[in-house]
Amino acid sequence: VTSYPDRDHCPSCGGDDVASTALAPAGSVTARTTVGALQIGEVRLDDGVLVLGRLDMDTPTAVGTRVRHCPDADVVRFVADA
Amino acid sequence: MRDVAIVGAGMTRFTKQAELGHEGLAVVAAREALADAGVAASEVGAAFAASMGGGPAIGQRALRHLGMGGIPIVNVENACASSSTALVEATAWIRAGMCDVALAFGVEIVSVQAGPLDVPDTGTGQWVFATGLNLPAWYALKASRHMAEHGLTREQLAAVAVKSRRLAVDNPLAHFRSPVTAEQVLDSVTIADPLTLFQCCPKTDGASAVVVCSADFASSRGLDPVWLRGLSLVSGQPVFSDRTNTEDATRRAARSAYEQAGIDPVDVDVAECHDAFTIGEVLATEALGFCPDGEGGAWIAAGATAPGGKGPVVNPSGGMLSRGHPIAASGLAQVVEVVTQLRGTSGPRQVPGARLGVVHTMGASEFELDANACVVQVLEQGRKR
Repeated sequence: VTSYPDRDHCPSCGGDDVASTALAPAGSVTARTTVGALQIGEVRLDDGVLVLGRLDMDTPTAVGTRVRHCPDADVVRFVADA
Repeated sequence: MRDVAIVGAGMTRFTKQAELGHEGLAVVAAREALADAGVAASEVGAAFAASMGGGPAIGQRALRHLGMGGIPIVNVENACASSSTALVEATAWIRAGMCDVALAFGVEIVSVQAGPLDVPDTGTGQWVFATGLNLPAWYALKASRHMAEHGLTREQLAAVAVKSRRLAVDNPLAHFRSPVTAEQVLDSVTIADPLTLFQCCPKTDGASAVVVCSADFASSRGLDPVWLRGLSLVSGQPVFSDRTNTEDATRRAARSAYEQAGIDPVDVDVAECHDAFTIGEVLATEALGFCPDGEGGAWIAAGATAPGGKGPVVNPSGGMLSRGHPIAASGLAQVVEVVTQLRGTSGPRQVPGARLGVVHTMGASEFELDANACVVQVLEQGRKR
């Protein structure tokens, strides 16, 4: 099982034989919404893992849009993948 | 396994009434259910109380006002499915022979909370809610996904709210009793795109209760009860890399409840399902088997689940969208509605000839689970099998 975020125990079996691994830095939006000024989306990374995060784009992001993770943000954020 | 009968049902009006307090609301519903059953408080062998915000030992605190003490009283919390779970427990006690008569109630006061409901500290899930996600947004993501995968439209979502409001006009216990048009639904303020204000349940206070008993007790009183033919409580299963299967809990619970009852979804006349947001009814209509997957929106918009439609009438009470959704009281309010329908005493909103009903309650969605809890019940009016 590969999941986000990393943790001390396997979320599938509870075992402690776990290791951190780098996830794909980019993916595609599979669902999105806007709450107030915030745009939030579900992103399927290119390695298959689903992550929720803010979509930092000025206009509503269409499902299917390619996005890239912002690694140093205070919360999980994605921007358009140029 | 012993048959279990529902012989009493009662609820308060669902509205803003925080001044009555949790205990006060619970007493009204419990007293009504007992009176409806013709059962004295002293005949109840065990009680099961559901509330999220009612504080410790709400069951003991509320029922002392009815002179009910000394019996086993169990307090239950399972998010929005709390009172449905209380009924599961009451049923289990009767089936096990631990009591002949049980009371289950749910009570909640929600109207005093400002803004979206608080998201509890869910440990590793906090990184999700730090993004700004709240409960409406959680459901909005489901709607967005359904739109992308199945072509669900905003107009179809609005049709759910229109049907809900139209049916609640005839429910004197509903929070909202005025009809709305699709245009009004779509033009109401956006809460979490594509969900607008009229597509979100109101903050409602209320209580609901039922009395259940063994077949022997019902027979000894000459009662003509509604029978619990199928009853399934499941919890969500972990989902890590594919959260798109979020209705799996409903499918599993429905499959089990239908199997116990020996029915198919096409046999169902009336259903109350979890519609805290319009997309919830779309997804439940599919997962309960009332229409093919992906067609819930079109199905509802075409009137298939409205009175006179080709499917079961879904949420004749107005559902959570219009009747209201006092969290831990909602599950048994759904049961009260279906029991009333099966008795044929629902007045202007009566589904003609209703004999078989389904109740579906979700216990919210949770990060990394496809649900907290889900209860599906099959109720039937008729003679003991």
